[in-house]
Amino acid sequence: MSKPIAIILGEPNSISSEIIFKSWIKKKKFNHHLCLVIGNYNLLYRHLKYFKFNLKLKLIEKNFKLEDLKGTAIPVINIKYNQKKIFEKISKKSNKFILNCFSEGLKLIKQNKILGFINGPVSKETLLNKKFNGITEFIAYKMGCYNKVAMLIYSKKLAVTPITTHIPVKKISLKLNIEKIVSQIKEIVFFYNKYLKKKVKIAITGLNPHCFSNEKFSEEERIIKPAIKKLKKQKINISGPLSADTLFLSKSQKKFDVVVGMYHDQVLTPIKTIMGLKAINITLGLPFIRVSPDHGVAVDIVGKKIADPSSLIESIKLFNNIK
Amino acid sequence: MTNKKRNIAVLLGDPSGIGPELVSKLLSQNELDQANIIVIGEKNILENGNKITGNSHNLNFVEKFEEINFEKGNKFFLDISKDKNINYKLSECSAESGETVLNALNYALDLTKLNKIHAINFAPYNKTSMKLAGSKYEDELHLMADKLEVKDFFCEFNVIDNFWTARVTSHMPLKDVPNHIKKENILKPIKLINKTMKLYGIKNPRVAVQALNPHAEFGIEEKNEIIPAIEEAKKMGINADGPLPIDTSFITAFKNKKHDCIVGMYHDALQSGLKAFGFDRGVTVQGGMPIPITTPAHGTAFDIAGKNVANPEPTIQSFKIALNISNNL
Repeated sequence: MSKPIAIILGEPNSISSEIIFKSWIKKKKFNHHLCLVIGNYNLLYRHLKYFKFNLKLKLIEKNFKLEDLKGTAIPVINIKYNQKKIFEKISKKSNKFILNCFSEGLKLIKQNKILGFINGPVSKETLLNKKFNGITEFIAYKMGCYNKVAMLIYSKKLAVTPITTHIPVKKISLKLNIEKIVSQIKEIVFFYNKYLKKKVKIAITGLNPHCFSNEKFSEEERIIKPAIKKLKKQKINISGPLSADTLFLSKSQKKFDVVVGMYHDQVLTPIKTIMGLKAINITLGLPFIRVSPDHGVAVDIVGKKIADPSSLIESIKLFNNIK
Repeated sequence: MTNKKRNIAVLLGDPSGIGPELVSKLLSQNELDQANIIVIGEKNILENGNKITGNSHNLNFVEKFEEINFEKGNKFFLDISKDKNINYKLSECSAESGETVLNALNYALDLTKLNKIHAINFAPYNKTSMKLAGSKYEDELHLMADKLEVKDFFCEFNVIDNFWTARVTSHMPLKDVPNHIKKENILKPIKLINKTMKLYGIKNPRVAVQALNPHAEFGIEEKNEIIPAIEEAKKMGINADGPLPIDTSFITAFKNKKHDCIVGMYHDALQSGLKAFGFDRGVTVQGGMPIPITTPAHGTAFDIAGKNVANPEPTIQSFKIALNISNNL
């Protein structure tokens, strides 16, 4: 039997528990893997009662056996945590708890007990204390592969990955280089080969509008085209540089599996616009699979029972394709 | 606003593309009875369009504007061919195609300056053909602005399903964009889109303003320039909101209907989202001109020219926008 997947609770004062419960109710229909949750048992129990979901929890040990995960109850590995109110403000206390949950998840990975993990939404600003720009970078640091990681925003229809991520627009041009593009695209090819058993078709955008700059040595000429040339030599199926806007017209979209963009909003804007909440965030370049729903903590709707679990459901579904 | 019908010039677009076919389809629409229509161009180009569609229209043909008498009807064709009878090839760029486009456009702009025309609606142009014909302008918007002696700020608006967008910078290398993100530069498109949408008929447009940097964090321009611009706009009575993170702005503003338009800082922040929404069915409005000038957002579509499969809906929408604004001017 294949290894289970872990769902890390994420921010306890967010929509995280709600979307886990909602996914669990439908899970039978779409999931082939055993799952477990890393979180606080008591708080999850209180949330379950608060939302009045017809589900059960089951406390399991950190050195659980596969048998423990079977059945209809949600298996929970307990991480110490106390809070008075059912939902509180996001605080240092809750952040410390989240980091403990992540540590437990990474421990299970190192013990080879799980296939990978999904984490619920967290508040980046408070959790990472400005030391890291995102969870991707945080996990990469913890696993000692800081320079290799990339985020892939994935859906079955289309996936995108930005070469630069959480940096000011001012710095994008300076941070682009041939090596970075080449190594990131090789990670994508590796991921599709290894996990999805697919020869991936890649499109790469330019940096400037319509790939045009009035300078002689534009980034397209200096960086992007040479990178493409290198990749083609390695028999990678890649086209570009293409204009970032027309690439997302429906007839062009269909030609590619992954669009590689030069910066965050160049590719995240169209995919969010097209996929809404159905896209998920996969970290490439780690020795295991890490996925998260592609949305935030949504503090404005916490406790209202109106959160949409689509992205978490899609995250769990991804593991069905892993061969 | 007057009760009198407004004079709207309809231009055939590039004769080698789908323009003539689209105008042939447009002229059969009932909406056109709400205005006085003056199609400006060469007679045989429209005839070619009619051959493609099989449509015919009851047009009065004249060779000078002075010959037009709207008491005789509301649809006129102002023929500028001077019996040249050029045979334009489909699906090719050429100096001839560019030249007829420029002739018709310049004719319409001259009439505009004489207050004889109150709106212009044109079918798609081909930039290469216009350059081949000797146009020195980077695009038609700059030609119009120059010819109409526009001194104030102007920019292109993109409209899709009644949702409008404008941008602070346009065809500019990305690394130069942050230098242009200044309070004054941001205010200009906010003010213009607000004014134009009011003329279009939206009472107090809700203007969403995009951030520059990812997640509206990771940079200083939001705090130093964009937020002050939004505050200033609010003081002027504009219903402005933001800065919105770019990646989710189309979901917030458009899908969830929280705003009527978005003002963005740079080209791809808007265009990548718009195209993903299927902007090929949208409309472009040339903002900041003294009269409304509109066109469908798609291009000349050489691949389907002559096949009678071009969708006239964006053209009809673009006509309606020109009509609405001209009625309120």
